[in-house]
Amino acid sequence: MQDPAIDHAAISRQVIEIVARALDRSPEDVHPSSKIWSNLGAESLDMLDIAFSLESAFGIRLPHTDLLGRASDYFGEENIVQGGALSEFALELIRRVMPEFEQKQLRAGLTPMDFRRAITVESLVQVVIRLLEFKSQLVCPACSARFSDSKTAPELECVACGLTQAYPSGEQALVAGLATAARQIGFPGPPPNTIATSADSRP
Amino acid sequence: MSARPQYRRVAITGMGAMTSLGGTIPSLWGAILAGRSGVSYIKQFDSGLFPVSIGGEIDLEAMRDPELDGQFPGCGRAAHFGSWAAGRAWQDAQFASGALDESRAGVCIGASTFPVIEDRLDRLGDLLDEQGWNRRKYLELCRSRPHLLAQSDAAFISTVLSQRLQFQGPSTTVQAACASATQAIGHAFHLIRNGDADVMLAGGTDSMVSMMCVTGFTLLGSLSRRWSTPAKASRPFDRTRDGFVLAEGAAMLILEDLNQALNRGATIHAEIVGYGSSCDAYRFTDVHPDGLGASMCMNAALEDAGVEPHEIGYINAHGTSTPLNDRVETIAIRQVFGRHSERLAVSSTKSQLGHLLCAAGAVEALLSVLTLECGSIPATINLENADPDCDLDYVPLKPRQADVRLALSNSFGFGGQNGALVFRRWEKCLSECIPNRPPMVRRDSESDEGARLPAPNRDHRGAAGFNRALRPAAKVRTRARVVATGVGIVSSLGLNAPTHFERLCRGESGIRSISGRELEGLPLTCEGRVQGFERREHVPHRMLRKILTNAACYAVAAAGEAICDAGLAAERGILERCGICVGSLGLDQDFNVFADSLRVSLTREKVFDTRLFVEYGMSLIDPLFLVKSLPNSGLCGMAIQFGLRGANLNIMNGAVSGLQSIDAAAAEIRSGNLDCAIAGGYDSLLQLEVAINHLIAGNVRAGERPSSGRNGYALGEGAAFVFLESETHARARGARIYAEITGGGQTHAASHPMTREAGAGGLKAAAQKAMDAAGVETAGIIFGDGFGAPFQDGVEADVLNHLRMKQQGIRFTSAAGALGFCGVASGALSAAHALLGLREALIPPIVNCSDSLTDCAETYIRSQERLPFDRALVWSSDRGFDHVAVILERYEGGAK
Ligand SMILES: [Zn+2]
Repeated sequence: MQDPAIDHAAISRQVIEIVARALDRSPEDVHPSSKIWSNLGAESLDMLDIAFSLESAFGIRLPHTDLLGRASDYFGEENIVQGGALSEFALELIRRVMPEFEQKQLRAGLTPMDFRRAITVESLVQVVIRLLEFKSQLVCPACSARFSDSKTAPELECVACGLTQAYPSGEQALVAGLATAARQIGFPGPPPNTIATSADSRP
Repeated sequence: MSARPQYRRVAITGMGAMTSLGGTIPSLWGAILAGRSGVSYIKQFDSGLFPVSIGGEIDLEAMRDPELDGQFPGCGRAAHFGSWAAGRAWQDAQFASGALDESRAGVCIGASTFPVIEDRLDRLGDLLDEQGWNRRKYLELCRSRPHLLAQSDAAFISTVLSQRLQFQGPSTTVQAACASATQAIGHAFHLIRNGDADVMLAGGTDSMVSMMCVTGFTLLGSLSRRWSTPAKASRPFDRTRDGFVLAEGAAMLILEDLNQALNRGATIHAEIVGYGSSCDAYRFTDVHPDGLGASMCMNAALEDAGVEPHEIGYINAHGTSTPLNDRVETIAIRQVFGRHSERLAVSSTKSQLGHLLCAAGAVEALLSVLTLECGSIPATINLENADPDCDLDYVPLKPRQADVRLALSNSFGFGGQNGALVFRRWEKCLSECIPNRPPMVRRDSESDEGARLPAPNRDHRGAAGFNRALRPAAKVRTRARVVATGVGIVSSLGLNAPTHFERLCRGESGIRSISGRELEGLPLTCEGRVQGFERREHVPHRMLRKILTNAACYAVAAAGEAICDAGLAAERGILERCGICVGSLGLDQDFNVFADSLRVSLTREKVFDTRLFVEYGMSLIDPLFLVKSLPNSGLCGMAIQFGLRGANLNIMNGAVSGLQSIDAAAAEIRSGNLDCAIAGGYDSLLQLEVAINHLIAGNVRAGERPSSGRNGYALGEGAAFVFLESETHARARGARIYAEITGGGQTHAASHPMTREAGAGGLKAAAQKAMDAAGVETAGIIFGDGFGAPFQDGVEADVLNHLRMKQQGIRFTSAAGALGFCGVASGALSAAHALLGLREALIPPIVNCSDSLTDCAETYIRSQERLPFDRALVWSSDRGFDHVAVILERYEGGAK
């Protein structure tokens, strides 16, 4: 279902440039398989910097919670982490939502920390592609035409009627991906949230 | 040397607070023991639209003090909270009139500075143009609303408190991010214990629940977002915790020399007995994963108190409710307390109050004191899901009656500055607080109920070093001599001390035409800008290069030069326990960071719209902007760059801060708390708001060259740091000694409005304090400010005339003509010039000095003089209010 308009190689080049600049390295030192934390020495502040640059470069909004955090909220923490390691269900979720993740690492005993530390540049590329695809599938609620990035503001603009709308939140894309994967795995859910988000239930 | 006893005991004799759980001690303590939460939906902006909408907020209008507004226009929320808490603490201390020597009473508080956008929102349409923030229009706005800039004046609140209480001792603002108030209280405690003050108002006040601050912390991912019920969101040590909850408020303590308190029959809430600080020297916003800095500061505090770990009964934890902090704090507590951690009660009152940031340590100190006084330990509310990584006794959900004799309070700040305080129960009050308890059994002999105290018990004094192996606890401390062994400078005259000093002595000037973008459009023509500084060359650490401001990079470079100059570049062991004392600028923020974001938040009619800001604007702000504007980033940067983990203090007190830091470091070495320290200051006045402030004050030089000498100063920038150590330490390692620091003094002129007479009185008193401390009659060569602004120059001239009565032929020099006014760095630069001058028998001249304000024109040094001198008096003043003076002398070995 890859959108032909999405050029993997170009996105990969651009992501590598952003990562290299954020980490003050030469782009030649950064490869799709480089692990951002352990190989490239990123700190948490760098990740904020990288996310900020990806959002402005691609006109996307990244989710503010990571995959495991959101999955824990969504499916219940006890279904994601068991005895300090990722559950079989969590590993299967990752296989489906992040097919680029090195498969041989997805073995029993993988801890949430190991998982986070194994994130590669290619994972970022795939996140960007998934969000671009999600964005490209949106249609105008007024006239059902497609959206394109506005030239004047960081928002979407309907190509037909000019209606503007904010970029979809990364949250929406992430939750949609998780729900689809859970359905495929046959997880009975999504179950009622034990933990709501702050936006959900404000009086 | 002062005849006062060297190590005095310090009592807490007054307390006051303003929090989301109440503005009186009974209301706050009642709510704490009832397990109530002060967290609710934020009302000061339209928070419902934001991803994070909760905080511990105070109803300002219900407590606003119109008298304060009238007296000090421009007071923000934090000033109101601080003034309220200070007033209550002062009442609580019940000083009879005349019972206080105001010249020996000071203020030391933690407070924050952050970008204030909110009260400029109504003019954004005007202020923002294609290039960003329109400087000329902003200047016009600030001229028409002169109090707009008061909130970016870092030292404003401590000045307000000193003025209201008429205290004339040191007035200090400490900035160590979330450890600010703990460090402020600790510093105040040491000032009294060392005999430098008798009474200190100490604590903290903060209010970062504004729209831009909530946005900043949200972008950093620090705030809790999982919990939708406000009261449930702050859940320290709970497995489902996911960030802290912002809160505002203040707490203030009156610290007092115990003997004085007993003699005047004061009610004693508790004794403060130990303070320790440390630096993680690890990462900017991540705590050290092994809790290294955290355990170091707890150990240092215990050692300072002369207390064994097993004697501590309660820890008021930093406990922010972030996943990392609570796990690492648990590790650190286990490391320090070993098996005793199983029996130790640890709780986080942030579960109820949220995180008061720069005021957190003050509220938590106050609650620790109440725990001792009343025998009840506050609960950690919301601790409902056990976390395998957090396995101590956190007093979950319900408070607990307990007989606690010693309590410790922790604070760990962004940037890696840490502090811990130890409090001891005042035995006499116990029976009054808990009537149903059996009478206390006296466990040791040093607590005393009577009006007369035995001599301080040496066993209890311990030594507050950082390496137990090097400092046997039984060592009796004596006053150490303090010597300087290294100097580092970054200035508009050069990127190292030798180049800078040589050019300065030749009479060269670093003042040039305006070249930077920051000040374009303002009516300024010249500036003292650092030239040719390469981050990559001077700041090797990648993350520091990325997040430090220019000025903070100068600080790292100058500190590095001083360390190398002292021959310590490779001495990791010495550097690891080296203290750090830094005078930092207040706000260091490029407003253009917000320009794009705010522009898309304007409607077609150019009106700021919160919904647009949340939907479009927020994501265009650099998520690191709050980290980049941290006022303690210079200190933390040098700690990280050079692996410095010792005691530390970041002073954010306006222009005197640089020299004050040198004086403070010298005092800690003199009293045996430190072996060595890096000390100095950095600043850049080449920033929009700072420049506007000086323009409005009418002190900035308009022309390229002065027509007559006193038409104001150029704005400058730079950094100067010195390496200080005890004489013993320096001699043991064969260090080359520049000079000795023999005394220092600080005053605050409590006059409102400020007059030349009051300013001169304050400076005169500071100089006298320094000379008394050094035991000298005359000042020697004076290295002063000489800004070329009429008021400041007049104050200095008055003091020179006064000193001339005792010392014929007194001479004065200053570097402002060559460098411009370098703010916080000015006093540190003067001290560095005096050290270099003493060693090389050279006195740099005043550049562009064409008229003189003293009766004796020959007082001013106008051309380079090669003459050996034995003594220098360095002084630094801030607008007549704050004054610091330090005596430096040629080092002579042997008995003194
Ligand atoms: Zn449309």
